[in-house]
Amino acid sequence: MTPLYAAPLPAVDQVQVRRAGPGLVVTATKDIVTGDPYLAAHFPGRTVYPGVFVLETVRQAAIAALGEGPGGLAELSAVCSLRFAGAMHPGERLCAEVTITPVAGGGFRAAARCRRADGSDVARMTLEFRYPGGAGA
Amino acid sequence: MREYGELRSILPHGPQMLLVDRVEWLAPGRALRAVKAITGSEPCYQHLPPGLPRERYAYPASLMLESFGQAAVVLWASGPGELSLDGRLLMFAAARDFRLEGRAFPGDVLRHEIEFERSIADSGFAAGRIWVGDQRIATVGSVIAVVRPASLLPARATARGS
Repeated sequence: MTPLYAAPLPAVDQVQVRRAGPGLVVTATKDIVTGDPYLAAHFPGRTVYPGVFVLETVRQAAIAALGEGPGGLAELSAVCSLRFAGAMHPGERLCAEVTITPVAGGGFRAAARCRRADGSDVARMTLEFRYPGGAGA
Repeated sequence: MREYGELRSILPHGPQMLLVDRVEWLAPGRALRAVKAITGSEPCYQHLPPGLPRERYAYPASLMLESFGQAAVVLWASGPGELSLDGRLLMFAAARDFRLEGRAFPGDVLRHEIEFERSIADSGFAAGRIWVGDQRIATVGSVIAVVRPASLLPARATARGS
């Protein structure tokens, strides 16, 4: 999936969205490949999927699920917490599960758990999103 | 002051991923001010077709945070004997309370104001703010970087340039 907004790389290969109560559960995968933009430079001769690109995978998955709203496309407004458990390398598959819930006063909270295909932990994060013209923007 | 050529020696990133252009002011190990110029020729814009609204060109928050984190590492490395990257790998470990208050676009210059808070073992903690001109566009509650022996990771020599 190539996003139609500024993004360092296509950070989501597949995404599925389902409703869960008042919110959404988004599952996304990304295969780590050396040919993606920026990766040859992180680091030269020793490719590591940058931690901020795990954040990017979750950002793109959440934007795919939230789509357009008041004022345009949903946007990341805060990284409340973000913790990495391990680095990812070419040939591995990143699997993200993102639970998105609306918050009082406008906007959304997205709690994500990211793992490798074998289930081992890669990262956990809690983010906030909003629509540019929405409440809380 | 640290010019780009010196930053290439301090940070292990290749040019495409090196997201700090200059350190304008440095109090070694304590605080710094660093800049990163955003241009439309960067890889994060190359996939976009003409005709999109301005908002679609907002510089990605992930790269903004990476840029801030790299500047924080330069600050950490400027401290007294605190950090050597020789034979070691630098990893982004955690962040808290990174709040986006505005956006940056091609033509803008990000200005990071960073305070180094402490280092514990192989972890360094920093906090600060990001500005474009006189507008504050983000605050960073904390970023945490760790250094690890490079031997913990398998060499990926075949990955170079591929």
